[in-house]
Formats: sequence, structure tokens, C-alpha cells
Amino acid sequence: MSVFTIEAFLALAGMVLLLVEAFFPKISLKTLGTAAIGSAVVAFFLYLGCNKDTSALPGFVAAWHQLDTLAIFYKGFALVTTILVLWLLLICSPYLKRFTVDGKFGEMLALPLIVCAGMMWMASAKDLVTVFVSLELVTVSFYVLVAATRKSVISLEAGVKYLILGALSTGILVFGIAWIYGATGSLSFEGIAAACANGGSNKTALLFATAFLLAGMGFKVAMAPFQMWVPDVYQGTSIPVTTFLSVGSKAAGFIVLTRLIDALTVHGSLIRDEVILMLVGLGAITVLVGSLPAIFQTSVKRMLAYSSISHAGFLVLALASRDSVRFDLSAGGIVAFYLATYLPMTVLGFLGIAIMRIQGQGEEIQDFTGLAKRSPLLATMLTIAFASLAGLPLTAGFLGKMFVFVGMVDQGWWVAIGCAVIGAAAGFYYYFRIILAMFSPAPANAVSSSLQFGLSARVLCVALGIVILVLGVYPRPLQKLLAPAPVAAQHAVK
Amino acid sequence: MNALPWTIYLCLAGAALLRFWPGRSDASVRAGALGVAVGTLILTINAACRFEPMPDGSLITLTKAEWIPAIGASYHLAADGISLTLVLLTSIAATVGVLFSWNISHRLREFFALYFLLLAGVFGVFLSADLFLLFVFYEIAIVPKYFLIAIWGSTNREYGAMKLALYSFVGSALVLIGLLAAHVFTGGSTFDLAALAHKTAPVAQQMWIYPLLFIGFAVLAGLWPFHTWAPTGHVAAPTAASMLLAGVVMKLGAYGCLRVAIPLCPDALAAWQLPFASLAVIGILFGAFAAMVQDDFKFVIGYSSVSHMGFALLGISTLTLAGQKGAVMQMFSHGIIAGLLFGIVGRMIYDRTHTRDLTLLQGMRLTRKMPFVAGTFVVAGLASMGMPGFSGFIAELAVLQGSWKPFPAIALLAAVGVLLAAGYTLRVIRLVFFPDEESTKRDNTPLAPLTWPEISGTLLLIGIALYIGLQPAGLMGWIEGALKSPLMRPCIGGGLP
Repeated sequence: MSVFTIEAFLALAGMVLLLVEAFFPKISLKTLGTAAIGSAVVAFFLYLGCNKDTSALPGFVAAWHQLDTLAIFYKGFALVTTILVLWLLLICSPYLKRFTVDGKFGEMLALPLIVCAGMMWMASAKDLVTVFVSLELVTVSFYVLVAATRKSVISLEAGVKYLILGALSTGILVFGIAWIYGATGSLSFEGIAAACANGGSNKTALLFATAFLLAGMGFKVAMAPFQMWVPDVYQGTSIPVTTFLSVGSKAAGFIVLTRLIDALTVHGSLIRDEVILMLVGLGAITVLVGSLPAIFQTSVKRMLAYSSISHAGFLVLALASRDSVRFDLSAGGIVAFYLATYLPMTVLGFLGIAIMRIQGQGEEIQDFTGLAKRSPLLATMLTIAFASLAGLPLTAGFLGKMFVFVGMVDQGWWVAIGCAVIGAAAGFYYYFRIILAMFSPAPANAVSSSLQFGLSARVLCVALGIVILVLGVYPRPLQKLLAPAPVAAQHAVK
Repeated sequence: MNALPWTIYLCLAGAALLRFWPGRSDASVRAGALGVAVGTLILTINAACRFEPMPDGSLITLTKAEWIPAIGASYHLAADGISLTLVLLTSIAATVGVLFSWNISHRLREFFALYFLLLAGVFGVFLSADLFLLFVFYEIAIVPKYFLIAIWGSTNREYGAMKLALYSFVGSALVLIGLLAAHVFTGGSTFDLAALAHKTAPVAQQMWIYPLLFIGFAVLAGLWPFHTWAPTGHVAAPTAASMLLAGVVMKLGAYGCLRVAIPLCPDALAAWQLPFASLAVIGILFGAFAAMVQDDFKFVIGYSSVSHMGFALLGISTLTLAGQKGAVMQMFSHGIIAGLLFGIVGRMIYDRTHTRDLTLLQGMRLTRKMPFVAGTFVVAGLASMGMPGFSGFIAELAVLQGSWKPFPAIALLAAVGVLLAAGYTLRVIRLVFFPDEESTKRDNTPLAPLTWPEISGTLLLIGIALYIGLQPAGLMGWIEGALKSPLMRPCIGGGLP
């Protein structure tokens, strides 16, 4: 069985579930949810066992499909993210029912499967057309997901904002793609790289195209100055969708950016220095515009939105450190490593907010005051998540940040390092404020009953906490997944 | 010797154990905490008695295992005379700190859990021979400090805690960048201290790596002008935490300068020697002058810590054997004496009178009500101002001796700092314990009697300060041996062989 079959299966499963939800209204959400998560889990196991070689692909896709280390990694990443998000959706169902018409949200259970298929397809894209089609598959599904909690006004507002800015960014991206075709005569990454390197292309046109491509992708990954939509949309939409946006949509954007930047900065490229400079500048600014406003937020969800921007900045900086191939990882590998560590901590952080919301609590920092008394388990796990987001050693978040710093030190980008240090220090401030609140005694008028939440949420909580700690202490498995073609295989070829 | 890493594991196990201590009795938690602390003390004393330095004084590997091979990080613990001195200090401070926390009842289990987590980090830093590992322990030491102050502190605790945490994190970020730079520019294959010191970065890179590392570490040692976290943090912290903060955590910074910054950048030392020595001496004088005009008793001690740690940093910047010996000795001595002063002020006086205002304390006639406190404070004050016979004298004398040759002017200014120390110490002694009886209104409210943990802790610290003051040869021998090792040789002005 080839990877492509799994992608097709996921898209099909998503469509079938949508139709079932539309035509058989009697089928309960629980059944639909189980079916959705079941399909994703089946797909994941099929993926683990399938033949990950290009030769196994059906002939008609092989031309547009590559299956390198990164593609294989990101496919797994997309599947894990989707499973976690579906799990989160099921945990949140009492809260989602309140904000959806007739308490029905079947489409929210089916669409993540289609998003997942889009992300998996995107990971293998070899040319910009495939990128565009799969990116739209993801983005259009997200338009629906963001606005799905229709009874909540801010969710609708978020939906409209996301739709308008998303559509605009798509337009910009297409414009960039058109320019790059004009400048290089090719739409495939290989062709673009070759045209950049051979010196025959028009440098101005290439730079112009790059600027538009970066702007278009900047919207998707929340890179400054295209990050304005993030706080409102993240805060407005439902928590599982915020999580999906924060991890899935961001990862999707970075797959494309990795491929694109790899092509544009190929050795000998005309515009290599300029592209790197753009990335460093934008990355440093992104870290600052994410982490500085985060200091002043009172809503934890909104703060996580800003922190998500800040993390995007670190990812862009990681992508910019082209020449620093260290720890057996390329720039794209370090981005993937960072994203993989970012996944468990973000999901755990949002899960914490979700659990609070389900209990009818708010998501302000003051609502977290005294949480340690009410639920020691949740408080401990959230402490791990926030400490990891802040980048404390021994948690997964530290190594990702450290790799980024190594790359920058190696290149000697002092201004960017200064910005990143400020961002990291601000991160310590705002994450530790929540941790402190959780461990402070609750004010007299606050709810003091112990916080109960279901078994499945507890399992997810503990599992993610353990993953964060294990990756922080023992990152080798993850690193092995991302290392370029193993040495043994190369020897075998010889 | 090989049991030294168990101080770390014992503290970690103690932290976990005390957090989930069964039963309702607080007394048993305290006893358990004391047991853990005394356990580390026994381990350390045992190691100290059996300590046989390497012939050349270099680090003795205690345990070594691969950790993250891709970046060259290993779990490598090692010790020499300097580490052993500071580990000894840490375990003494740990024991006395538990004794001085005997009256804490608010969230006792969590308090001791964080307390021992902090200590595990400190022991880890002093024993690490791998810089990645050292950095990890360094961060472990920072985080519990924040919670100890923010939850159990007093005056302005959230402000003090956050300020301290932010300074520490920014400092450690500088350290991280310095370490990564040293790692990258030496080929990016290892974080091992000895390997990095052997194959240093190019001179041009050392020129900026050195200040990053030195300043990053020295933030935690209270280097002027990055010292401002220290007084507020000390004042806000609960007694045991200020004892650990002044007694041990500030030493992490000085230790980092000595153990990491200097060996990694031997070629940059000369250029930066004067600036850092100047900052150190400004810190000595600034801290002393500031201590002279405080109205809050704990602020006096807090600023005096900045001044005394200035001596340690000055000693490190001299790059002479005498200066370095004095610096390490000062770390040990100040750890003991500052712990003692904070214990007396924070636990014995403040917990009973609920004020640290010097003018209010004047009227309380503490000398009559608590003669033991008055007596011990006078002794501690004498030790702090560098009275011969106490450890502080040996240390500061050695620093002055070491700095005379490279910078006579700075040595003179530092000597003025010693005089000022006498000034501010005598001022508080007179104000609090021997006020003008006529001019103050008399307050005869009785105070709670002293308890055995406080008395035994105080006597233990005074005893150690005296013992080291009279018998410094043993410690000095360890320190000197370690300073002459190939790794530490740049510290005393000699390049690597």
C-alpha cells in the first residue's frame, strides 16, 4: 500500500462522514466522532506500516509526489495532530454544543480528516500547483471550522476575519506564484532552484516574486507583519480549532516555506543572501511583535495566540539559518523538530483552557488562580506545558529554541539574537505569571470546589505531559526521524 | 568522593518525598527535611575527609555517560577542590536553612519540595563538568527560587520574585549564547568543559564570548550595575530562601565566572580584566554606601551582600593566585556569614517583631529581651566586617593582596570598602541593639522565646566561620591545588601548557 492511498482514504472518509451527518440526522455526535477518530487512527497505523518508497506510488501521482525524510515526517505529524484535535473536539463536545445551532457540530468532526489529507499531500508537493491546491484544501476547510461555532458572536467575527484575510493572502500567493513562473519558467521546486542558480534569471523579478510568496505564506504561518489576524481569530474560535490552527495550519505553512526557501536559497542562487536577510529580519520582528504584547494579555487564550506568533518567529529564524547543519539536522529539519516539540505543549496548554471552559470557568489568568488546589493534576501538567513553551531545559521546548540560537550564533546575527533573547525572556515572564497564579491561594470569592474532568481528558493530559518531559531529556528518537538519509543506506548503495 | 553525585539525587528524591509526605503531622515533614539536609551534609563531609586531589589538581570524574550525542552533551559530573568547597558550603547552608524554616507551616510540603529542588540544581552546577549539563542545573536552580519568594515571601514579594527571575533568565540567556558560541566556534562537537578549554575558540570570538559569559554569570553574583535584583529579592524572600539566595545562589554566578568563563576564553582575559575589576570595585563601594543609608534591616544585609560579592568578583578578575584563592574563600565565607545575618534578621528578629524598620526596632530594647540575638548579631557583624579570626578576614585579605599588584588603585578602593563595611555594620548594631535609651520610647511587650533549631543553626554557622578563620589551611590547600590544575591555570594568569 502506498502513502497516497492513505491520503485518498482520509479525504474519502471525511466526505462520507459529512454526507452521513447531512442525511442521517439521527446518528449521534458520539458515533460520528468515534468514526472520525477511528479513521484517523486507522490511517495512522496504515501509515506506519505502509511502503514509504516513491516506487510504490501509483504512476499518475508519482510525478508530483516526493517522499523524502521531511515529507514522511510531516505526514506523520499531520496524522498525530489530527488525532489529537479530534480527541480534543470530543472532550470539548459539551462546550461546543452550547455554541452550535441545535447542538450539532458533525462537520467539525469530518473536516479535520480532509485537512489532514491536504496537509499530507502538501508535505510531498514537488511543485507550486500541488502546493496551492493542497493549501486551499486546508484553508477552505479551516474557513468552515473557524466559524462553525455559530452561536458565538466572536466566533463569527473570527470566521469573517479569517475568511477575508485568508482569501487575500491566497490572492497574494497566487500572484507570487505567477511571478515566479514568469521569472524562472518553472513551477516545480527543482526547476525554480535550477533557474535561481544558473544566473540567467532576472534578479528583480525573482525578488519581487519572493516578496509576494513570503507575504502569502506569512499570513498562513503568522509571520510579522502579516500576523494581525491571529489574536482575534485564535481568541474567537473554539478551542479545538484554535489548537488546530496553531499547530496544524502553522505546520502546513512551514512545510511549504521549507520547500520554497530550500529552492530559492540553493547554493549559488542569485537571491540567496537577500532571501536570508528577509527571513532573519522578519523572524526577529515576529518574535518581538509576538512576545511583547503577550506580556500585557489577561486572557490566557489570547496570550497563547501571541505566544504562537512568537514561536512562528523562532521557526522563521530557524529556517533562515541555512548553512548551520548541526545536530545532524538541516534548517528544515530543525523547523520540523521545533514543530514536533511545539505540538504536545500547545495541545496541552489549550486542553487546559478547554477543561476550564467546560467547567464553566473563564479563560482569564485570574480564573487560573488557585488551580493547584482544585486540580493538582491539571496544574502540574499545565506547569510542564507552560515551562516547555517558555523554553526551560529538560522540557521539549528548550532544545528547539537552543537549536535556533545555535544557528544564529553560528551566523553571527547579533541583532536577531538580541530580539530572540528579549522574546525568550518575555516568554518566561508571561508563562510564569500563569504558573504562579495556578499555585497561589484562590481569592475568597472564587470557586473552590475541586475540578473534575473526564478520564479521556486526564489520559490525554498526562500523556502529553510525559511526552514533553521525555523529549526534553531524550530527544534522540525524534532526531533520528528527522536526520537526513541514514549513513548505512548510503553505504549500501556503494 | 564517588558518593558526591548522591547529594543531587538525595535532594531530588527528598523533594519528591516531601511533596507527597503522608500523614498530617507537620513535625514529621520538618524532621524529614532535616534528615535529607543532614544526609547531604554527611555525604559531603565524608567525601571531604576522603578527598585525595589529583596530583595536578584537576577534576576527578565522578560519573560520566552519553546523553545527547548529536550535540556532544554528556552527563558528566566531576569535582576538584573548588567544587568540593562549594558543595560543602551548600550542604551546610541546606542544613541551617531547614533549621531556620522550622516555623513555616503554610504549604510546608511544597516549600520543602521547592527548597530541595533548588538545592539539587545548586549541587548539580557545582559538580557539572559538561557545560550543557551545567546550564540545565543552573536553570533548575532559578525556577524554584521564583516560587519560594512569590509564595512564601513578605514585602513586595511578587515584584521581588519576578525581578529576580527576569534578571536570572536574561543572565542565563547570555550564558547560553556564550556557551553555544564557544561550542560552535570550537567545531560544534562537544560541551565538555575540559575539551572546550583545551581547544578554545579563535581569539576574535573569545573577545566577545568572554564578556557574554562573565556578565551573564555575574548577574547572579550581583555584579554592579546588574545587582538590583539582589536587595529586593533578598528582602522579599522568606528567611530560608534569602539564606540560600545570598549563601549559595549568588555563588553560582561567581563560580560560573571562575569555572566556565575564564577557562573558555584564556586569550580574552587581559583585555577585559580592568573593566570587570572596576565594576567589581564599584559594586563593593556602591553596596557599602547603600547599606549605610537603609532603613530596612534586611536591605542593609542585602546591600552588604552586593558589596561582599564584589570582593569575590574582584578576586576573580585579578587573575592572581592570591586573588583567586581569596575569591573562592570569600564565596565560602560570605555564604556562611550572610546566611547567619539573614537568619538572625529574618527569622529571629522579624518573625517576632514583625518589623524590620530600624527606627521601630530601636524602641524594642532587643538587647534586654533577646540577649542571645544581640550577642550573635554582634559576632556575625564582626565576622562580616572582616574581623581577624573569622573566615571573612582571610578571604578579603587575600583578595586585597591579589589585587595590589595588577591594580593598586582598585585595591585601595576595595580597602575603603572594608572600612565602610565596619561603618554600616556598626551603625545597625548601634541603632538596633544599643540605642540611646533616653530618646526612645520604651516598649516592654515580651517576645516569643528562641527555639532550639534557631539556636543550633546560629551556633553551627558561627562555629564554622570561626573554625575556617582560625584553620584556613585545609580549605586553602584544596582551592590552591585546584587553581593550579591545567584547566584552571588561566585563572591565575598562566596559559595552558
